[in-house]
Amino acid sequence: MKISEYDFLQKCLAQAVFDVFEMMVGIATCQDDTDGDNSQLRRGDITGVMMIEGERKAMLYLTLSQKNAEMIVSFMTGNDPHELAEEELHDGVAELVNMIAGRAKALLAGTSDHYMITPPFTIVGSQHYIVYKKEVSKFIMKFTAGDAELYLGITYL
Amino acid sequence: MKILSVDDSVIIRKIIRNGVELLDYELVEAGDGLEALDILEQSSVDISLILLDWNMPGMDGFMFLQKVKEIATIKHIPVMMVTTESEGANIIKAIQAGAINYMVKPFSIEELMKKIVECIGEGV
Repeated sequence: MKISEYDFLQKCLAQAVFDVFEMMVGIATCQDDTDGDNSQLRRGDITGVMMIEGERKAMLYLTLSQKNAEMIVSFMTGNDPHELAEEELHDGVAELVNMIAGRAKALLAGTSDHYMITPPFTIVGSQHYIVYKKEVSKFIMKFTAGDAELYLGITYL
Repeated sequence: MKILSVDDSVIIRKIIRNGVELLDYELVEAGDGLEALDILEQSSVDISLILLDWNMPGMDGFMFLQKVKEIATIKHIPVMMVTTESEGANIIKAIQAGAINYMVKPFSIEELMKKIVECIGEGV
């Protein structure tokens, strides 16, 4: 994939994050490019994952800390963070990545990056991270939503 | 009056509940198509509108929509798709199968309420 294609895909994914958070969470997000290196492992407590299949197979994921997931899902539902069950947090993060993938898919319609999506799932564990058996093509984008940080990654399999 | 939300996401059902209750409707929830059919087959449950996700485990939204439109006692109930599926071909497929409206996720609560009112009018 050429750099310009990466740029377009990243722009569509970033726009999808902005749209999903504005409409479903009610808060504005900003992309944070300040730390430069997008290849580092990002640790988190809850990761929503979707497999996507187009010209290439890829994994799209959204990683959050437990505290940030509680804040964001509470904004989505209008519930106090302490009222949210673990299952609801996991479901909320999975649904966020589902909608980000769906929104980006709509923005990419008619391009070579257009893809099919699978049902989302969630990886849970304190300070977990994802390791690959071989070097793969990937990029990770950092966003801020209020005080919360979140990472959206795509890895080509 | 009652609205049935069929979605495998408990969080989406909660968000829908917020909009439905602001319109003074009551929300009934199902996590998939089979559970929703069980609810609809109970004659005591009077549903005015079905809000239907597409991608669900078990019986998906499209299969459920086709099933509803085959059953004489429930086929009159209006169905609105509420889904991440945004491809024009799928929208046409759902409308041809009997859905009367289509809303793509993500959505704002205001958009949800507007679409519900378009389908069945203001709450009681």
